[in-house]
Amino acid sequence: MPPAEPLAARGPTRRDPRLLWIAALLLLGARVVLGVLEERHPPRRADMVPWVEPADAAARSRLTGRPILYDFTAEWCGPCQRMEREVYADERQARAFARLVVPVRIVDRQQEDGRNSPLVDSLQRAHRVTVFPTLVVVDSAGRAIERLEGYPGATQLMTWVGRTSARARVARPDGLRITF
Amino acid sequence: MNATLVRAFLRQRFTSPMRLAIAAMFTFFPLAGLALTGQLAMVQGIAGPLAILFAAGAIGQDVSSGTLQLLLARPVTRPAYLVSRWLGASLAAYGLAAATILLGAGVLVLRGTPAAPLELARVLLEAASSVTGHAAVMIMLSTLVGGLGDLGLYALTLFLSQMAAAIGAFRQWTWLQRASAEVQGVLGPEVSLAGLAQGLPPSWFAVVSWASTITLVLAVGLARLNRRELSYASG
Repeated sequence: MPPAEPLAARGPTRRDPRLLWIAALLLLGARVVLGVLEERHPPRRADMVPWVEPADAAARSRLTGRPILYDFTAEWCGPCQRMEREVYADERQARAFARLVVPVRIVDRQQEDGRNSPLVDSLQRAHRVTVFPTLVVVDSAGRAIERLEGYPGATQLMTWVGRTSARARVARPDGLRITF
Repeated sequence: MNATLVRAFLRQRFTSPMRLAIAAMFTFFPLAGLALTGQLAMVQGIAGPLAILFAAGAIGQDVSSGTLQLLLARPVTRPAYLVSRWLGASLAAYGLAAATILLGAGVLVLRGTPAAPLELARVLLEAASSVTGHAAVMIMLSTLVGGLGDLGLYALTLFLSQMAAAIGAFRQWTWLQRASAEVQGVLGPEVSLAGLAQGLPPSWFAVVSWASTITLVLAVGLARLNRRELSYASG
């Protein structure tokens, strides 16, 4: 005969998670307040990515064997600002960026100035940029290898950059020795 | 929490050949990428997918198979059951994620480019936040639909939010971009500790958002589980 179960354990299996609800609602309130505060006063940190001028990118790419990463961005773009805070302002991620790719930033000024410089226009047209941010990885010959539209989060972005960079190095067109 | 339920859940997850095969795929490719590039960042994204893998169907499969009726005939409360499932899935995923990250750190040592201890600690802590967050969301979805329907719900919500983000970016609708970013944040709650290297604390908003998502989805999951009629007579 199985042992009798303790009396205290009998009864309904349902328990009202009142404390959990209170904690959840308090945290939700704090989240809204902090979200509004951070939106109004975003913590600005210095951009630590060593950006390269578009004109120097191809030469730098040939020299280092790294593919070029074009970051098409705009001042008003919310996800771009998040990416700047979470990725570009982080010393470690910035170092990883510089080790994996030749980073080139292309800032759209259409909304602010009414037009873009011819270089920005031609690059946007060449890479069919319609949304911000758009990241395009190209080889030293200017051939696009992979593109990413939108900001998927710091972790996913760095994984994508690492994977794409490795792919680009394996597929180098100039037949040079591949070094990792 | 019920330790017996956690142990049984872990045993069940680690004896499922399909889950183990997918988990091996999730860990092998990032490790190979790490070996090629020498970047610890290659393995820092595995925690979330592993949590989804181990938490998928955690409750839905018990409901569909009729196991839950039998389980709740024992002196187990629904909150204890739900929390045990969440902890079980989190432990399973974190165990594997941490082992992979440490293995990756070992590979970096062999390459002669060891990761800095602070960097390794950061990746391990971020993995812990990601695993507990993703597992909580999946457990909540698992209370809503039977079987592995939670995976479908997750994928559908993710797809719709990404579509909304793309539309927001295309039409330059900041509010839509913000809303879809919030939905994606709820689907993959994690705390970024990127500022640690600069001696900066994590953003309070990020920490509170992560804790808020976990408590909220567990409360919703529990409310749904409490309202679920499980008797055989209910049909």
